[in-house]
This record gives sequence, C-alpha cells and structure tokens, in this order.
Amino acid sequence: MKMLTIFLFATCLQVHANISAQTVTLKVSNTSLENVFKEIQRQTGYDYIINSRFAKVAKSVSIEVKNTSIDLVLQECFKDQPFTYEILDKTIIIKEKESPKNAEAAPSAIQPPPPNIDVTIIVTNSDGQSLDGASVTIKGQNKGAATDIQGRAILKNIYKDAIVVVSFTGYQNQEIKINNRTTLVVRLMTSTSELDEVQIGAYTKTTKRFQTGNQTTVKGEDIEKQPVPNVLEAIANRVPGLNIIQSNGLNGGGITVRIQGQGSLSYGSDPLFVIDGVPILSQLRTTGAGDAVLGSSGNGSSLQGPLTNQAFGSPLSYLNTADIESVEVLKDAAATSIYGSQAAAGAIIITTKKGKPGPTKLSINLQSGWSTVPQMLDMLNTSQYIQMRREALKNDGVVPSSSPTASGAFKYAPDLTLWDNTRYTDWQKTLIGGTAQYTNINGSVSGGTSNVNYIVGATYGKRTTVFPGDYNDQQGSIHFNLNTSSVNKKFNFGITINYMVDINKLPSQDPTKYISDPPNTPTPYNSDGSLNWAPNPAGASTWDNPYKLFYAYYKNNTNNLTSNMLLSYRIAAGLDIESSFGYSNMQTNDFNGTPLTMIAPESRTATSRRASYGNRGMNSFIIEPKLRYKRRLYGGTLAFLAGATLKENSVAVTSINGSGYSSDLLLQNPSAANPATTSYYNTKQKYVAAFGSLNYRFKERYVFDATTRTDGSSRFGPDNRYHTFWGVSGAWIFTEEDLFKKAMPFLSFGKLRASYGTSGSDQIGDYTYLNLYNPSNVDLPPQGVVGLQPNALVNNFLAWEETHKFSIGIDLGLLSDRVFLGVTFSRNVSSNQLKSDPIATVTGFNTILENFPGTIRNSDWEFEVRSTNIKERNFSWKTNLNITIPRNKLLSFGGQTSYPFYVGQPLDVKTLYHFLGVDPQTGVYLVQDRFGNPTKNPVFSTTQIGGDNVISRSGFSDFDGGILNSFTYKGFSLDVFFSLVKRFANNNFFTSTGNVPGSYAVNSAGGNILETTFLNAWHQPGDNALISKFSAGASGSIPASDASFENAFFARLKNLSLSYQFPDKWKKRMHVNDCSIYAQGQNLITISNFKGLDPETLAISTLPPLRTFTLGLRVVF
Amino acid sequence: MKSQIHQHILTTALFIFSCCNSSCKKELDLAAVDPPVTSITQTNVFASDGTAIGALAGIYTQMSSATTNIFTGNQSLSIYCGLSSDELSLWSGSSSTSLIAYYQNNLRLNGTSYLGSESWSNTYKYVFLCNSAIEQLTSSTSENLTPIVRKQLLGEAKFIRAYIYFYLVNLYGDVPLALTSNYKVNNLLPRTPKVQVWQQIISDLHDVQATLSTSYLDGTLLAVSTDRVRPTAGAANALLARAYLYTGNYAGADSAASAVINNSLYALSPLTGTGSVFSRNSSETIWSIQPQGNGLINTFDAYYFIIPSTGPSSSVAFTNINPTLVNSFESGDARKSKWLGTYGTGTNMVYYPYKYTQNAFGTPTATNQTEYMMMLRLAEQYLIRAEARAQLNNISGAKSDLNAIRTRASLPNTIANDQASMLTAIMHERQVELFTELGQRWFDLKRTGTVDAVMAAQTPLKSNNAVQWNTNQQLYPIFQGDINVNPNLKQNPGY
Repeated sequence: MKMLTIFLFATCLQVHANISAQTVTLKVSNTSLENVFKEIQRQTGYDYIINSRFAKVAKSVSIEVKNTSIDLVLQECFKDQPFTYEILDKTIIIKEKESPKNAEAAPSAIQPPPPNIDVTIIVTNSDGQSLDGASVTIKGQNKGAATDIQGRAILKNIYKDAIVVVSFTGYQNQEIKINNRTTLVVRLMTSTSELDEVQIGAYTKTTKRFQTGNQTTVKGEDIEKQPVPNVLEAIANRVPGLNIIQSNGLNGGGITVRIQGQGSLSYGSDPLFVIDGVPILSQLRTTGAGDAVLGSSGNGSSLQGPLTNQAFGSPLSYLNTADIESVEVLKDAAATSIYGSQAAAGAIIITTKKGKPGPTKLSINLQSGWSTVPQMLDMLNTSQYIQMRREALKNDGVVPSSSPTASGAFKYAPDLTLWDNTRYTDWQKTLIGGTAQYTNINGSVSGGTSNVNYIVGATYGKRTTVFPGDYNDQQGSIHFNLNTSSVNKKFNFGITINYMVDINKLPSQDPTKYISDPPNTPTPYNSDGSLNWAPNPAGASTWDNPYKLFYAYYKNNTNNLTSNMLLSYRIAAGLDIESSFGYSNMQTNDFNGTPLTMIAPESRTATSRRASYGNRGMNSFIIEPKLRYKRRLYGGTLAFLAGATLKENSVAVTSINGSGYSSDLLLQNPSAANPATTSYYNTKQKYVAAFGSLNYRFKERYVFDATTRTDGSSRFGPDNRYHTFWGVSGAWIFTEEDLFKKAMPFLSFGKLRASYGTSGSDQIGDYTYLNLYNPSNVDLPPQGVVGLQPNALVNNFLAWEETHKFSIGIDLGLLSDRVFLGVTFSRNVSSNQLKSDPIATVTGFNTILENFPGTIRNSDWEFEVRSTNIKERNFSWKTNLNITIPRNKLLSFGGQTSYPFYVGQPLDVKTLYHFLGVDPQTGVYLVQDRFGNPTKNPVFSTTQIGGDNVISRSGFSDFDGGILNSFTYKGFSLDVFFSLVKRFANNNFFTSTGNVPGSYAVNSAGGNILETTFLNAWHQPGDNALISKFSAGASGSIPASDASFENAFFARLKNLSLSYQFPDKWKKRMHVNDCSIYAQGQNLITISNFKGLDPETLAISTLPPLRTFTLGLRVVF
Repeated sequence: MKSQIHQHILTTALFIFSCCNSSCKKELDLAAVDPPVTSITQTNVFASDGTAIGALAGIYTQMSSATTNIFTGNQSLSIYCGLSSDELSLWSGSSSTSLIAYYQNNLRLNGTSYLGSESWSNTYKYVFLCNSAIEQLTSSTSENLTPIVRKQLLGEAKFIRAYIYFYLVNLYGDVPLALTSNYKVNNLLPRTPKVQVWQQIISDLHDVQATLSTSYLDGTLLAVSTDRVRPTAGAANALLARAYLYTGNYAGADSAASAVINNSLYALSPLTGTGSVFSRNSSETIWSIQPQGNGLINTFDAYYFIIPSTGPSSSVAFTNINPTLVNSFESGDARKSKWLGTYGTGTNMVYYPYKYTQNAFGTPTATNQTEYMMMLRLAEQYLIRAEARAQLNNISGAKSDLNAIRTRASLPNTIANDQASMLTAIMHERQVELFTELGQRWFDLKRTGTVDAVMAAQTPLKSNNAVQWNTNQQLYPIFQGDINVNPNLKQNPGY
C-alpha cells in the first residue's frame, strides 16, 4: 500500500512536471469540447478519455490562447463545464465534479456550516515554470501553505468561496477566489516594483521589501554601460557606504575597497569578495617580479606580517565585467554576520550570468573606443624654467658649474651649463599624451528548458596604453553556466565556470613621474638612434632619460579560474539539503627586465642587466554543505538554515631575480642569468565554520532574523583559534498597518529596520603563532652554509579582531512608489585590534603582532533617493542619488596617543603646521609655532607636546556620492552619472615633494613645477608671495603645512551612456530579436580645483584614470 | 501529525547545527595547519648539526649584509664613526640629513627619531640572535646535535654577543644588557652600568676561550679550513685583549695579546699585493666575515669608499679622507700611498680609503672573492700590547711592538722614549694604521679622554663653523622608538 502511494505520488509529480512544458495555441468559438480536445491532442500528444455521459452535457467552448500552458487552457475549457478533469500519464480524463454536487446539496442539507473543500493550487511564473516555495494563504486567516517543487500547494478543508493570496519573492501578489474549484493554476507575474527585486545575500535570497539588512545592489546592466575593465570601478560612487579608490589608471591597476570606513589600525580592512558563492582572496600577493608597477590595493593588506608580503593589483581585474549579473554590497551585521570572521569589513557578492529557460539566443556585442589622459597640468616652459633655475642658484649665492665635483661658490647645474637652453619638450604630451585603443568583442549563447538551461559566453578585449611603445592588456575569457534538475525537480545541479586569460604588458615603471622633467632636456636620442644620456665632460650622465623606460617592460600573464558546483536535494516538504563546491585557481607568470640600454653608461660597470620572473599560484577550495528548512508557522513563514564551511587557501610564489646576462636578448631566460637567486614561499590557511540563521516573517510586515557563526582559522594559535559571531536584525513594514495606511495615504511603502551583531577579522599573515626560521637568500652564503634566520617575535595568544555593528534605517516609498527614500545610520566599533605593535628594538625586532587595545568607530549616514520623475509612453526620466557621510574616530588607543594615531581623531588625521605665508623680507616660508609666533624652523612633534604641528583634518572623504539620471525616449536611452567627492588632500601647488622650487636632481625625475606655483613665488624683499624664493637646496621646505593641503572636492561626469534600440519592425525585417547601437563615455568631465592630475586618485605623479569613449553594437539573434 | 513531522525536522536540524558548532572545537581541530614547507620551526632548527650551524650562518649572513648593519655597507661604523671623528669628510653634494648630522657632530631629534641612533637597532638584532641560539643550543636534547658542534656553536654565539656588546657599550655608554631572548623581559630592560656590561663581555670571552676551536673550522665544524671566517680561541683572546685594554687591565691585555701574537697561525702581512693584510685569509687575519655578494663580488667597504671615475655621488663614494688624517701620515709612510686612493687633480684632489681594493660587480664565487671583511687583525694586537706595556712602564717592550708596525709601513723606529711620548706615539700609530676600521679612532679618542680637545677643533672645520663641539656628542643618542615603549629607558644626556 505504502509502495503504491509512493508510486502514485511519483506518477502524479511527473504528470505535473510535464504539463508545464506543454503549450497550446487555440482560436475557437462555440466549438464542441471533443473537437477542442482533438486539437490539443494534435498539438501536444495528450490523449483524452471522455465518457458519453459527460459528452452529452458538455458545453461548447470559445477560447483564444497563444502558447499557453495546457493546464491553463484546460482550466479555461472546463470553466463552465458541469464536470472536471484529471491528467494521468499524458491523458486527460474527464470525471465527476465532486464538490459542486456537495455544494449543490448543501443548501438543502441540514448541516449548517458550509461544506469545505480541498484545493490544489499550482503556482507558475509567466513562462509556465512551476514556482517552488511560493506562499499560499487564505485571506483573513492564518491558514496557508507553501508550494512544493512542482509548484503545488494543497489547502485542505477550506471554504469553497475562500480567497487565496499567492505570493512569491520577486513576483506580484495575486488574489484568487476559489469559486468551488479543486484545482487551479495561478500564474504570477514578475513584480515591476523594485521592492520585489531579488537581493542575493550571504547564503540566502530576499527582496528589498523584506530585507532587514543594509545592502545595495548594482545590476549587470548598469555595469555594462561603463567601459571599465574592473567591476570595482563600475560600482564606485553608486553604492552608499562604499569607497573605491583606484591607485592609478594603468591596465590591471590596484584598487582599494572600503565598506563603511577603515576599522583596522594596520591590518586588513578589505571586504570579503565572493564570486558565485566562492570567496576569493581579497588581495593578491606580490610575485616579487616588478608587479609593484600595478599599484597597491590599499594599506592594511591582509597579507602583511610574517611570511607575507605586499600586495599589488586587484584580483577582480581577472573577472570579465560582461559576465556579471549583479553585484551586492553587504554592509551591516544583518547582512554580514553569517560570514562571521570574514566580513568585518563588509562583503561584495558578485553573481555571474545564469542560464534561463527559453529558445536559444545568440547575443553579440562589439565595442571599440579610445582613451586619453583627461587633464594635463600647466607646467613651466623653457624660458620660465631657466629663469627659475638661475634665480634659484643666485638666491643660493652660487654660480652654475658644469663640473660634478663643484663645491663652494659653484654648484653643478648641467641643465643650465651643458644643455641647450632653448630646447623645449612637453613631457606630458610626450609621455602620457597618447591615445589608448580599446576593443571588446563578446558573444554568448543561452537557452534551455525549465529542467536544463545554460549560458556560454566568450569575450575578447584589448586595451592599449597612452604611453609611447607597444604596451597593451589583452583578455580572453569564457563563462559557462549550466543548471539542470531531475524531472521531479527534487534534485538540482548547477555549475558555473569563469575562466580568463590575461596578458598585460606595461612599462616597468609608470612614466608619469617623468612629466615634471625640465623642459629643456636634451634630445632623447643620439643621431645613431641610441639613447642620449648627455654625458658631462667626466662621462657621467646629466639626466635620467625617460625614454629608457620604453626599452623595458613588465609583462603579466594571469589565468584565472573560478568555478562552483551546487547540488541540492529536497528531502521532504520544505526541507532541502545542498552543498556547494567551489574551486578557484589563479596562476600568474610575470616578467620584468632591465636591459643594459636602460642603464646610464657610466653605471653599467657597477650594475648589470637584470630580470625578474615571478610565478604565483593561488588556490582555494571551499565546501559548504547546508540544510534549509522552510515552513509556515503561526501565520508566518519560518526559514531556517544551518551549514558548515571547510575552506583552504594556499599561495605559492616563486620569484627568480637574475643578473649578469651577457645580452639584452637573453633577459627572458632565467637560465642565462649569472647569478640568479630564487625566493619561494608557500603558505596555507585552513578555515572551518558552522553557521546558522533563522528568519521569521509574520503577516508580511514583521521580519525577524538571527544568525550565528562559529569560526576557526589556522592563522591563530590553538588557544584562540575559534570564535563565535552573531547578529540579530528586524524590520517592520509599518505601511501594512491599517493605522498608517489611513493616516499616511501618500506613503506607499514604509519600513523601519535595525540590526546589531558582531563580525571579526583574521586578516593577518599565516603562521604567525609559529616560531619559524627562514633561509636567508644571498649570492654566496658563508662557507656554503645557507643561513637560517628567525622570522619574527612570536605571539601565541593572538585572537580575532572584532567589530560590533549597529545599523538602523528607514525605507520609504512615496507617491505610489514613484519616489523611494532610504536613510541608514550605521555605527561600527572595531576592537581587539590586530596590530604590529612597536616593541623596543632591544628585543631584536621593532614590532610584535598583538591584539592591541585600540577601538575605532566608523559611523556613517547613507542617503538614497530613487525617483521616477516622468513616465510617459515615449519618454521617461529617472533619478538615482546616493550620498554617504562617513565619520571615522579613534576612540581609544591603549591609553595613550602614538603618532600617527590620535585618540578622538580619525585614523588618517594630518598634523600640520599652520602656514603663515612667505616672509616678505627673506623669502622663506613661515609657519606658526606653538606660541603663536611665526617661525621658519618649526619643530615637528609626534606627541602633541613641544611641537609646532597641530592636528588638522582627516584625509578620509567628508562626503561622497553619485547622481544618476536616466532618460528614455522611444528607442533612445541616456544615462548620465556624476560622482561627487569632497576630501582633504595634499596638492601639487607647493610642488609634489614639498620642496622649495628651483632644484634639479641629476639622475632622477623632476625639476619642473606648476606655472601657478612659479607665478606666486617671492623674488625680492617686500614681495608678498605664497611660494618661497627659489632655491636649489632642500632647506626651508614646508613638508607638512596646512597650505599644502586643500579641499579636493570634485564632481565628475563619470559615465555617460547613450543607446538606441532599433524599432521592432526593423528588427523583424532583419530577423533579429534585438539590436541596439550605443556610445559610452567614462570620466568625461571633471570639475575640481585640485592642483594635480586627478582629484580622485589624488595623482600627482601617477597615471590618472583615463577618459574613455566607446562605440558599440549589440545584436541578439 | 504533519506538524509533528515538521517539529521533528526542526529539532534534527538544530541538533545537527549544534553538533557542527561543538565538533569544530578542540576535539577535531579542522582549522589546524602543518607548519609551512618553506620554513623550519625553532625546535627543529636546533635539533640537528646542519640546521644549528645554519642558525649561526644566519648571523654571519646578516653581518655581511649591505643594509641595516653596523659592520659594512652604508650604515657601517666605519662610515658613521669615521664621519663623527676626524677620519672622514662628507662629499659636499651629499644631501643626506643623517650623514650631515654625523659629520657635523650635530646628532639630534629629527621628526620622530634621533639622527645617530641607527646603530642601536642594527646592533641589538644580533643580541637577540645570539641569545636565542645560546638558549636553544643549551636546552636542545637532540641526539642529532653532536656535542662537539654544540660546544663550538655555543662558543661562537657567546663570542659574537661579546663582540656586539663591545660596540654597544662604546657607542652608547650604559646599555640594556639583554641575556635572554624573552621579548617581555627585554622590552622593559633599563640601562645597565657600563662596568657590568664590560664584566659580561670579559666573562663571556673567558668562557669561550677554552671551548672555541683553536684552529679554523669549515662549514661542518668537523674539519679544519683555511677560511678564517669562524671565531676561534685566538679571536676570543684578541677581543679579550681589546676589552682589557679598554677597561684598564693592562696586565690582562698584555698577556691576552701575547697569546695571539705568539700563536704561530698569525703573522704580519704585507700592506699590499699577494697575501696582504686585507686579502682573503691573510696571515694577519684573526677573524673575518665572508662577503655575501648581492651583485658585489667582494666587500661593501670597497664599494662605498672607492670613488669611481665618474666621481662621488649620493649613493656611493660619498665620503673621502679628512685632511687631518691625510696630513697625519708621516712622510714616507707606505700606508699613505698604499692604503689611500686619490680622485681628481690639483686642489680638487681627494683621498679615499683603499684598504679594500675590489669593488667590482658580478657574482661572487668560492674562488673569485679576494677580500674578506676584517673583524680582528694582528696589527691591532701589537698596538694593544704596546699600549698595555707602555702603561705598565715596559717602554722597551712597547717600543718593539710599535716598531713592528712601523717597520711594515716603511717607517723608521719610533723616537718615543718615555711613557707619555710612547703613549702619544702609539695613539698616532693607531690613527694611521686602524683608520676606517669600525670606529677604532672614534673609540680611541673617547677612551683616552682626548675627544674634547680633538673635536673642539674638528667640529667647526667640518660644519663651516656652524656647529661647535659639545661633549655630549661623544655618545650617540639611543633609539627614540625604544624610549617610547620602554619607560625604564632614558636618553643619553644632551639629547
């Protein structure tokens, strides 16, 4: 009997599973039911059995449907029939309508309560796919059920005219009157309200409507509109609370990411990056082969500390932006606590594109464009430069000399004495004035059924640089996703693979630092084509010829694989077991060579050709089994999740440094080096965790969420290896309350949310609790014995850094959700700081890694406004504004203040002298001393005592944000995005080094200054000037006065995207599904007073982010 | 019924979750990793001969490093103390605040730290290395650590610790006497009076005199080698002689120096040419360090002192010989022509130290290295004994020792005949014999009490009259970072 039941049940499931795949197109009026069945049989192969008793009473049918699921068609056909049907093994069986009979009998019967019926409700989406986990409740009662994998929910013993409410995450609610039917199919339409957009969280999904945490989504379509290579650039200024700082404008450059500020004194403040459920290392480790040119991804690298190294470049440079479906930025405890120790600094979850059921689609996207440096500086021309230099030497009381050993009344000045004083070179134009080309080709094929669907995409992209020389970054990538499920949908399997091959060739140093070379430099090349080093009579070079850079290059070849597999099985109603298996592998080979041509001839005897080769492998795997359970409980929905994490990261880096090559042509071959030294490290981190979360949603208006996670990390000693983190949060959709509905009808949506919890950080180096000796790497070890040296002082008692996060917010929808307003206040307090603490060097080391009693508070206000300003048939205008006001404060610091940290001040507070201008009599800078008097020799103190420097301001941004305006007119759409940032930054006005203008250093870059600096200089007694008298000496500098800092506010037209979608008629004629052309621009206009190349990166001598224009064509077949 | 099932599932799930939570703790430590394959744990280092020898080799490697090292490179005592005293001049083009401060005897607070405190941390790092080696070698119970190797290594570690404290006590006066590797203890050490530091130096050297090998050993410590790069009993005696001289135990200095001079391993070498003083394993070498390379074949002293044909620069060859030293060579002193190089012509001509002559780049090999870094040499022992004998009023004995050195320099015998003139003659001989050898001159000026007289004249010369000599400058300031974290540590007077 039991077996039979199971068998029947299984058959039944199969039937329903098949139904959804069958569609029917019919147009009949007043046709007999049998003829309709015949037609259905022809289209679908479904047999039918109709008893003659029923055939006689059958009513004729009028129906017009197109590609509609057979279920719906049958429902329509049987709407007015005196009987009903059942489908068994592809056969439609006509049968007695039971309940109607009872119902008819009821009035005449004696039983007073109306007889109840059992109703089976099948919930599908607009494509006819069944929806698993939809909520079906009876209006006005707490009774309800959730649909199973087949989209079926059975409501037992309910009133025949009851109204059921069907709701599901991401869909519009639907209310249906049962009308005495026992089976009904409810088709839910995708919600058009952004409140119902799916938000992917840590291990769970929710909607904006029900989310309790502070989380922001950036959609793939917004990322696609920006021709940038790194997804982090594309989300900058679009997410409140998120701060993205590019280190430079080079291909593959480093990017610093901070979510709600910096919570760590010195170690990692990097968020957790998760790609398709697989966490990746948030920082790359250096290859040791010249990757520093890529630029840093921020201080407080997770990889500092013993056995570790600096980090350059960004790991997300190796993920194709075109494959990204969405990016979620998780900020508060509600959103991040379940990630426990990994997400003290927030999390960024990247989801790549997934296959969708539907006919096979081929999509092709071609894009091409060009980039330039957006803004050049006004530097001195030759006569101004010469004037400055001569005046500088005169002020110093020395005479320019061509002798390098000149002393006393003479000073060596080859730029004045040996060079042509009439030559002019615009070094900005020469070195960074080029146009970089950009090409990107992307194609993808997707399609499938509800049981198997896929997407396969391939992209090739190439970007050149603005430098002279053959440098470019080429990326080829593939993206693959396959989802499949068993016929009964109990078992699901999905796999996602992203793979990229990137070959990036750059100069081995950023040439931008040479833009301040003197304008009268000699010709870069000799007549024989060799580099001109303009030697002085003694044979020493008189300048550091920047063209040497273009004889060398840094080449980085990185292959990046991230893959994830997901298996799930439904054990029982509402209970699923699943596990994800992730693996990522990033393999980098890089090379950096210094040919002899780069070296000044006189130095060639003392140095030699050099090359370095790096080989870095970063591997991680993760297994996360999870158990999910969902049920209705006391009129609400309860979701429970329990899971575990097993993770292992390993990094192995081999770097070889070679020298002594006999030819420049052999630099690529490490075996031609003599000698070659090898350094190697190989570290492993293991990580285990158990986590759980509980979510309860009551009456669709109260949401409660609790999470906990116990983490263990191999980075800590056995005593402090485990720690438990937790979070609680809640939301109240008060506009669901009648009271508010009546009192505030203008409010279409209103939610209060709050969260509190803890998360931690183990972002220190591996093995810090072990007392390790490392081999010392030298050419010739003493007596051939390789030395062993202790790594660091060892602290066995290291424990987790902990952040307590509090967040409260309100989300409002006004004027029928045309305007959304969100305000969040968050306060994160980070303590138990992991810090390399100074220790007396008498101990043999100058630092020890400790849990330092320092507390940092990051509080910020985040504002978001999204409004639909105009919505006409042909025209729409939407605005999206976000503003973040972050505040950072050091609450305590081990009971004392220690430079550069000041209790009560932000972490990067500047202590500066107060600038008083230039002494009109002597022409030297004056600053205010601690007694309020002017001084030219200020005393710098690190203790706030006895020094003339005073606490000034923080270098963190005062506010930042972005404003997006989107317009559509017929087929045109236009997006205009401005970013806004206000911060306090060092400028270029007092020259980048803070030195007095007028010096020229042989064999290094620099010498030239801004024209405004030149024009503001002191020349003779009585002059009131901002800039001191010119001098070739370094004395009299004001390295740290408040005048050399300024409010680097800027507004930047960061992105402009215009596209035109061809009209349907045209597309039909061309036999394409979709076709559009577009133009995009990045960093187009910048409004700023900043005296440097770029207010965003604060670049003075590094390449700023480029201005890019592209044109593109997108066709979908 | 249904609801019960649900209840059951919920309980099970919670149970599984709590199991996961607790099983992650201790009993099954899934988060434990093995030590890295690229390093060795401390216990393993001192558990076998090869790795224990490697730990000492690690110390020698640091001693030959070009950076953050007091023995050679651009922060060596040869440069710093040479600039502080009347040995070296700084190239006029140098803009290094730190070098200018040493040169002008104007060491002071600059920003967050003192100019002139570099050697503090650069020296104490060796103390830690020696202390942890001594502790581990003493406590290791491994059978794979041969007793004879353990004995020699312990001797070497104690010897180096004494050698290091010699420089600490001379540079800074009273210094924290760290004799353990425990950072919690060392982090709070106060300064120990000089006398006790000297006692420790002398007692350590006494200890190792008997345990160190009398002959030079190779890298296995089991066979004899021609390489004079490991401390021996002779080296212990030589340093002991120096320590006795500095502390006024002249009889002790006499006998310790005699033990070295009478040792047949050692003989005075010619000034230049094959087998000369500074050539590798010369017969004059008592203890030397093998240069490690890093692009340079021989010593960093040669690299930093020799002025190349393109002239001085701020990165190399930023010093030359102070005219006072140039002028103090007696006429006919072969050391002036052989141990000094010249650059430029006429009035622009400058001299530079040319004791080490090989500054070529390339790859050092076991055969192409021709010069090792000299740490202790025989000539100094003659001068120590001469001085000790002069102090003991053994004028003839002093004379013969002094003349041994003068003869080698092609100079006539000394004319000094009484104690005072003999001591003056010896001091002068030390000036021209031991110049730019790890601060010998600077220490001589201080220990003989002549520093104020000499520097009162020198300092204004070096600073173009901008700075006057201040007697507090004879002790370098200690590292401010240590004072910041250790309340028991006080700065030297005048800083």
